[in-house]
Amino acid sequence: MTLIAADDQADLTSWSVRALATAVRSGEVTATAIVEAHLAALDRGAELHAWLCRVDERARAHAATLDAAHARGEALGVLGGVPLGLKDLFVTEGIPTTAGSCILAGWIPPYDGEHNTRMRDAGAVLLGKLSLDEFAMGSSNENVPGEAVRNPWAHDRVAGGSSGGAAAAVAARMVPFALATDTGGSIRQPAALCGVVGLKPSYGRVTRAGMIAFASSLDQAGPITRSVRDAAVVLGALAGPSPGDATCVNEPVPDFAQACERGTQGLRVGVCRRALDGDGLDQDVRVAFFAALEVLRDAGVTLVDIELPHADLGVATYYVLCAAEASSNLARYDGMRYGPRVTASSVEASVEATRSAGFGAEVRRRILLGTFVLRKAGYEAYYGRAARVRRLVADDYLEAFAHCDVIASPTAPQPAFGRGERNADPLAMYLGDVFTVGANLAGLPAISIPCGFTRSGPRLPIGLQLVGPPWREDLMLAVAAGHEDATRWHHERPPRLIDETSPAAGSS
Amino acid sequence: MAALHADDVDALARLARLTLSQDDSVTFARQLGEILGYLEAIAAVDITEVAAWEPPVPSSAAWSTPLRDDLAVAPLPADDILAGAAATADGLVIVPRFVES
Repeated sequence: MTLIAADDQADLTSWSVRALATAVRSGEVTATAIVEAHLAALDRGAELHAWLCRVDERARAHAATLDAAHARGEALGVLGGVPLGLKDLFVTEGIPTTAGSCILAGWIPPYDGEHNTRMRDAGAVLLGKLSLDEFAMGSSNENVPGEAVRNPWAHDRVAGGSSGGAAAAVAARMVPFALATDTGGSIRQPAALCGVVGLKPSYGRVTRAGMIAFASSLDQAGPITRSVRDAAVVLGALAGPSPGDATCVNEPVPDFAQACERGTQGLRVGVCRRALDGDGLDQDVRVAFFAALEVLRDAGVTLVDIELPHADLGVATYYVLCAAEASSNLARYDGMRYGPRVTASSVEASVEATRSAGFGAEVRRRILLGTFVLRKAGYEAYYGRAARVRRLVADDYLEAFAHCDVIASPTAPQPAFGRGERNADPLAMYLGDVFTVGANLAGLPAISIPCGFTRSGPRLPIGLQLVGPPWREDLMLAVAAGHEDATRWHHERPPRLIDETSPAAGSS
Repeated sequence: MAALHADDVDALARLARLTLSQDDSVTFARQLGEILGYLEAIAAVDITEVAAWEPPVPSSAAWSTPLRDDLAVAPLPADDILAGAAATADGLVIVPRFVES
């Protein structure tokens, strides 16, 4: 297996997670050299606004510690010496953690979330915190106090969201991997729009302890990488029982890397053709999706038609539930025990002033929507009803999995849209989640992988989504790796990285 | 479809401990009205006999809800906790008056 393309060998920022970890273990490269190469990439890519916070000196010190341990003959972890970025929704001790919100501006957590701890235990080196839509609410990474994240493929386009910083940083070779979170598509959609791999595990596969809550029944953490096998390796280090999250299952972690080598022979991939009928599906996305199905068929997969009769209700169900859970989870932000405070004449006035100044427009919109659907007058008609429709949506998937092993669809109906294009129309933004919310509602594993580019306009990446049955990340990874083995899309890099003089928007 | 007025939004805002500008109330009323119109899609679904969803659990016989050991864990250092608060004094968080004297 070739891990490193020949023309890329000189540039450590183009190496895979696995190649970097292998090279550090064998002594071929030091963690320090790897970290320096990536910090230089952060400098070069500053105009993407992917990072909210950098920890260069910490990273250098950590790398030196790893190199010293290696020199003493100590074994390094599976991610030893590999740099990463964390979406700024993960709590990090001693490092500012903001959830992309003014309401947590300047907060320096006194503890580490389990995600950061697990990555450090595996030997990964944290370079900083990545931008996101405020409290992970958004699909464009424009709901931010500062600058919106630019799409590395065309700077006038959005990077997607909510994990836009994570996807852009991985695509632009600033880090070989990042950890992000996915409540309705926040790992997969930006991965698709930036041309990288994004994996949302089964609900309960990965802990939520130390991840700032948005909608607790939907939130799940996972990796963004440049290859399927890298995603499998990172997931292996991230998954497993957690003392801090009772919804994280007490199960041994399967060998996800091995699952990638299963091959695709005999696997059945289901396609719900009715879901592709809507006029919201971009023509280039449609063409790329059907081309990806042909790739899978050539790789030995059997294509099966399936039905998801309640899929049309996914977005509406999702927005009732996520708004309800968000309004409840975000009630804790009152400016009293942590975070900035706007002082007023009473506690109540201070709380209102703090929350009104601290939350951005989209977060306030969802809190108001959540308050509406949880009112006594609306509870049964909205929240109670959505919780039951959720079962119908989820049962559709279980029914479909009686006839197939994995379900394929586009990840997003459109490629990266223009910055500012959908800001005044939140409903249009929500409708872009049509293909991704189902996996969250049903608690299923799902992955987005690169499957082509637009042919008209700027050359923009397109993502293929694969959804697995409950707890069957292995089947999903086998099909994803099979597609990756038969294509070269994951080796494509944004234009600026090929030629520093090429125009920002790229050309095809 | 649920038409929302700025007054309705202000009432929601009070429940959610938010204060909105008049412009925000008007804009949110329009946007939330559109969103609620879309959410009406779930109103027509037959949900008699349908129970609320619960997450899938592993099929293995050994599966159980993970529980922590019953151990008292040392609290985080008080100084570290206080460092995150807007106002502190003598090891305490200072908040505006909330009891009438």
